[in-house]
Amino acid sequence: MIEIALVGNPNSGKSTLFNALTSERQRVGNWTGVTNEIKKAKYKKDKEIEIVDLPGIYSQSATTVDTKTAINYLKSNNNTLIINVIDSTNLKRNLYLTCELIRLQKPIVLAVNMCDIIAKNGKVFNKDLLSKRLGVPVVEISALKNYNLDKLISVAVKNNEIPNQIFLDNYKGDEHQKYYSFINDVTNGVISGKENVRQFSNNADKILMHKIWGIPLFFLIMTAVYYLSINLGGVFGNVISNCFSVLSNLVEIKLNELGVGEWLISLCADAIISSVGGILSFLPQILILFTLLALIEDSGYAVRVVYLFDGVFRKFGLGGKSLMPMIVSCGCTVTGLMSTRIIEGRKERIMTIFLSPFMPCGAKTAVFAYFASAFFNGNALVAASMYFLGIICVGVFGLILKRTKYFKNLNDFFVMEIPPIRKPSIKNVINVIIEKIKEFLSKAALAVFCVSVFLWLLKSVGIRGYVGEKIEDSFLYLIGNAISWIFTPLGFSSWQTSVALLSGTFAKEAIVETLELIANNSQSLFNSTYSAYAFMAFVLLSPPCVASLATAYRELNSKKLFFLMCTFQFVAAYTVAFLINLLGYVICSFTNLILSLIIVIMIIISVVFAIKRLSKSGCKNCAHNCYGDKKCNKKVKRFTI
Amino acid sequence: MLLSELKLNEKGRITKINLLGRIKAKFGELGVIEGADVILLRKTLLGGTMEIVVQDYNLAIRKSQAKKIVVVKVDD
Repeated sequence: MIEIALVGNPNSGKSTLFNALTSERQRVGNWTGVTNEIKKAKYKKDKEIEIVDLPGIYSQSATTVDTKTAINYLKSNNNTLIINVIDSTNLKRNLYLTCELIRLQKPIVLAVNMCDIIAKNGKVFNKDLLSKRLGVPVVEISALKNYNLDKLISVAVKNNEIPNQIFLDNYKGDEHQKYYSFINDVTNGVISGKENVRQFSNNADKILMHKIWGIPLFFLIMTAVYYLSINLGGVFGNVISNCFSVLSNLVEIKLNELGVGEWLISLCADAIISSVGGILSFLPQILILFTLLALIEDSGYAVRVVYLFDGVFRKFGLGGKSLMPMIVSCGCTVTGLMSTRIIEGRKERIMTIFLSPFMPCGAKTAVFAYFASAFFNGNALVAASMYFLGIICVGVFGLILKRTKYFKNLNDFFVMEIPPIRKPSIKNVINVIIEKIKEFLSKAALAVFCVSVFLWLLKSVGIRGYVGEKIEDSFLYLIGNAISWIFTPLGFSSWQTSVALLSGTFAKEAIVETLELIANNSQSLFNSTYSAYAFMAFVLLSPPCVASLATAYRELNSKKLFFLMCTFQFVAAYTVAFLINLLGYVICSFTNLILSLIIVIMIIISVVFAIKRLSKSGCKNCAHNCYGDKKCNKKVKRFTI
Repeated sequence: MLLSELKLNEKGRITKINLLGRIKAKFGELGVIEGADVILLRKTLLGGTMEIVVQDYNLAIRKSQAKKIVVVKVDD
């Protein structure tokens, strides 16, 4: 068994190459940190060769969890052949890692990727010159276009020459300067032609990263994403849901004719067919959402969003790389939590893990869409407002966390490559869709199905056995009533909503299923419309589904922190839902409009004041956010020219 | 002058980097070193983040770091 590791900078196309060489469908995205785990798979054309996809690294000094993973792998596996994947449109910086790898004195082959872009711009890449100067075999490839990949593997497998050592004694300066001077000499004349390969991207960036219009454009795009997924997805979802309703009725009639017992009819029609129909009716929405998010990631727009918001988020204790996991969490919290591996500081990473679940994931969006149609006349803006609520809560609770002793001094280091905007590849988008369908059907659907059957059991059986329609005698009723008092201040104190929230632990989509299963009229479960909105807020902010909790536990690596996180999120959810219910009550119950307006304004002012107070950095003497306490004796040298 | 003081589309050559330890090493790997040319591409509205061109690629850095990098203006 021959093992080949793909090593290279982030964005050099390693994962695209991995997908092309194996039959895997790894996530690909045009930003640093998409790959944060080691993935292995067999080469398509020869099962004796195994390909390993590693997270991208800029050098051998590890600063984040994902780079440490890559470097530890290289160090501990001595028999692994190395293919160094290089972005040919970005030669100099990519070669820094190459030089370090050559100094390791192991067999190595250079895969110069994206040669299709070079060719398209009328430039010529002189691979023989590069090969001669570095002393290693060089193969031009295009992972995206499947060009020259077989040749790459055959060259890699045949090559067991150790490259000549690089001597940097002739160069001046510190280590980095020596490397780059050497790289300058090596790359001189390797690429000919004056065309700027970034022309299209530079033009696009003038709009996307615009000083003033960049942020409003982002909000416009995100609203469009949510609008499309909920409305368009909703249309298809309704079709599916109707089909299953019809099926359920048919089965009920048929079984009745056959004289089957009432309990079996109920099990088939209500638990099985209805719940499967319900689950599948979400699929269109979730697919559209994920596709659009994949386009955003794959094109490279996500990086630009981080650029635009870094300054703003800094004021709330987060910033830079913390943003990426939050964007990813809008798809699925599990993936978002794993993306936190790109964050440099441990405390900043923990804070991001605590706050990322506040962003509405695909499943939560499905719940909001359901509530939007049940309580708000299908107004998609209601569901989109949850998105803004999530952002606000990240900001506010981030400030609160930053005030605590644990999170006080966070890392102020941010450096991020802005790769060129690329046309998202249809192949990658299709892969995302296929993978999402598979994942949805296996995990979420299975979870929701099991929960539905289990709930059906609990609602149909009581202390005295089968209860049928008399749901007040069932176990489910008992459980629900036992905890429903907790939620009275939030505006929903029925046993049905309590049970629904419990079922949300398995998968947030299950909340909808549960409500459908046990409530004839969902509207009656809530005191008022704003209580329903408070419920939505609770669903948004409360601890995420089991899969996400398991991921969080793994990433946090500490029972104490995990327990802290769950408590924090529950308290946050409860507080916000309570405030919403309170605000709604105040607005609606005072017949005097002016009085209620005054009270609302007072509440808003006090909240804003509290936020400003929390975000104020007390000390102007140093670059740290020290709130003016004793630590400010740090002498930070303000340099002089 | 400082990197943070460059105007849009101005090119500068780095003469001194006043950063320490891990941050300096990270910048070094990325090619932000003494003797390298940088071009300021854009800044955000509040000025906290900037995009520069260095070693033929685009990098986003914070103003607080840019204030610690000394450059001399270079005419194209």
